[in-house]
Amino acid sequence: MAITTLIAEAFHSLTKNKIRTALSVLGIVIGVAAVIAMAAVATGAQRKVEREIAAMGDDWLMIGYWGMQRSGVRRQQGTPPNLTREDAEAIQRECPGVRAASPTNRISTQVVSPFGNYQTNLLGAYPNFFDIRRWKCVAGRLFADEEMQLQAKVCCLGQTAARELFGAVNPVGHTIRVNRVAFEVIGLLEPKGTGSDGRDYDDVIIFPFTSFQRLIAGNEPSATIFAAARPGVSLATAREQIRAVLRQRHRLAEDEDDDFRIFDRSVMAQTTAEATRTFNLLLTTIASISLVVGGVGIMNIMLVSVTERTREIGLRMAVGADARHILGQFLCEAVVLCAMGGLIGFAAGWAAAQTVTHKLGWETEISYWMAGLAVAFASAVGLFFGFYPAWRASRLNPIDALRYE
Amino acid sequence: MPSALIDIRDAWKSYHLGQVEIPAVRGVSLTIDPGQFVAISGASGSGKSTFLHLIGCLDRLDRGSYFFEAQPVENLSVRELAVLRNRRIGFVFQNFNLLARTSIVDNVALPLTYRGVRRRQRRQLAAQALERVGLSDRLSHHPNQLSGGEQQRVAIARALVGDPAVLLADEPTGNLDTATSLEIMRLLQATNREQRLTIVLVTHEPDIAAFAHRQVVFRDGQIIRDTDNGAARR
Repeated sequence: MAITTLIAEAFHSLTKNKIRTALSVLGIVIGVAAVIAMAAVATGAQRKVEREIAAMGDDWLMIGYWGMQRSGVRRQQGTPPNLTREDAEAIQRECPGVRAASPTNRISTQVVSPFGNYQTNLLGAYPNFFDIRRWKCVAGRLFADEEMQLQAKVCCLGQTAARELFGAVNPVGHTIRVNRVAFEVIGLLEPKGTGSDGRDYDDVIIFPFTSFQRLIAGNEPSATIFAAARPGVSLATAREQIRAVLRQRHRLAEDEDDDFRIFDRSVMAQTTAEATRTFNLLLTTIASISLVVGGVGIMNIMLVSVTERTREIGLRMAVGADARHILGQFLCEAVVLCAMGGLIGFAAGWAAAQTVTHKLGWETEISYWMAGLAVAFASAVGLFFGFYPAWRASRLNPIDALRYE
Repeated sequence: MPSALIDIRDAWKSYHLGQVEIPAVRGVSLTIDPGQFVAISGASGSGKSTFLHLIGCLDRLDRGSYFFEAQPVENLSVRELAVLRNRRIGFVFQNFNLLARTSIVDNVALPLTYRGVRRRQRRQLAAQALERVGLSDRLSHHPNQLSGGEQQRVAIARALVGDPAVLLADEPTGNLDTATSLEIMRLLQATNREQRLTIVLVTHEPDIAAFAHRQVVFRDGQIIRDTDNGAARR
């Protein structure tokens, strides 16, 4: 019996009782739909992160202490390690692969404007910070070396800070107060958006480093150094150079760990990749469980179907079907049933993902090869769980089957 | 002399109910030539249905030998028996055994699917078989839209569609009223006469048995009478 005949017969069988077919395949449909929807959300999130990482710019690195204890291990004098502005300047000077480096310092505090006040992040940085971060302004201008030398009381506002402090009014030319010190707003920065860690990059006011140190935060050592690689230099190369310079400046012995961390886009991408791997593993596990449940449902329904169709099986054997034919027939029905379930599940999952995007605003992404995978997996479930009932059917004795009430 | 179509010698068949063995057919021998119309009758439990199953290769003899079209059947594998049934034997049952929710043309075509016949040709052959039993205007109907007599005619068409050597009927009129029963019997008679098709029919009703040329009577698993009345009842 040709495969096409088998499949046609399977379809015919399944359409004979549409309600029962629909109910039996429900488990598979829901399982597949859930997995597809979750995968769509996960892929969408991943794409968003990848885009942000790409949008961040290719070539900057951050040096800092995240997750490290400030008191070092085996320090001779017991002083905490720190990154100074001299470290930043040394990096710029001595690393051939680095085109610019800026120390930065950050606090969060109340800022007062003529229109109200707002708690935001204040950042002190060198003028080359804007170049490192590729951050342009959309109104006014950025501060330069002159303002640094003069410790000028100027600042540049990020979009969110500007909106909170000035509403729809252009802040350039106005004054804000920090700790009762007045600063003139000379520039409004372009939007940078939200980072993958949830931080709003636009919720910031940037001051010249010297002004910040003197008038706002005091002489705290730098929290983070930003550096940019020269065009054509790989991040890995720049990273190694920075590491060498800092280790030497911090007088670290060969066998001592770094007392700082260097972070760049490739690290973020790697972290994301690991998180994605973990999530995909979770997803696969859940998928397996839900498909197993669906498969058990299929097996049950097929067993009932075989029992109900005992006379039919007897008749088929009487007119010439052998065990092989019967096995093939019922197995084919199970596989076709599940394949259809996979397809419908994919469609339902797609619809669910669309709903999530419209109602919750989360990004989702469906790859169409997921449809193939859904159908393939569902079919495999059908093959596996349909086998026992089909085998039972093929073992029936035709005479007993014909007599079955 | 053409060789016998069906040649059974000293057939034994028992059923096993738990530990107990119940002999249903006890040392029966029977020869049927091509073109004969044979009725096997007897009380319920006499072994006639079991014997029919043996003739139809639905079951194997416990002891004895069976030559179908001069070939021994005992050595055939289960698969080969299925092929034999498909190509050479047609069955008609008391309860019709049609596939529900399936058109009668697809019902009749069923044996041909196991032969690998292509769909269009299958339906053509099925339509022809249905015409021979007078149902060519009901091709797309389903069994539940047909009367009992019509359903049995569909079953007969199905049994004949593959051009078998013998048609085996197990109480074909058991679920039909008298008038319809006579209709069916006349159809079988006509088929036997016009197509020289060998028919073996099991029944417990003497009126029905009378349609056949030859009467074989079973009792307690053995043939007690085998008469050939030549001229059958019209």
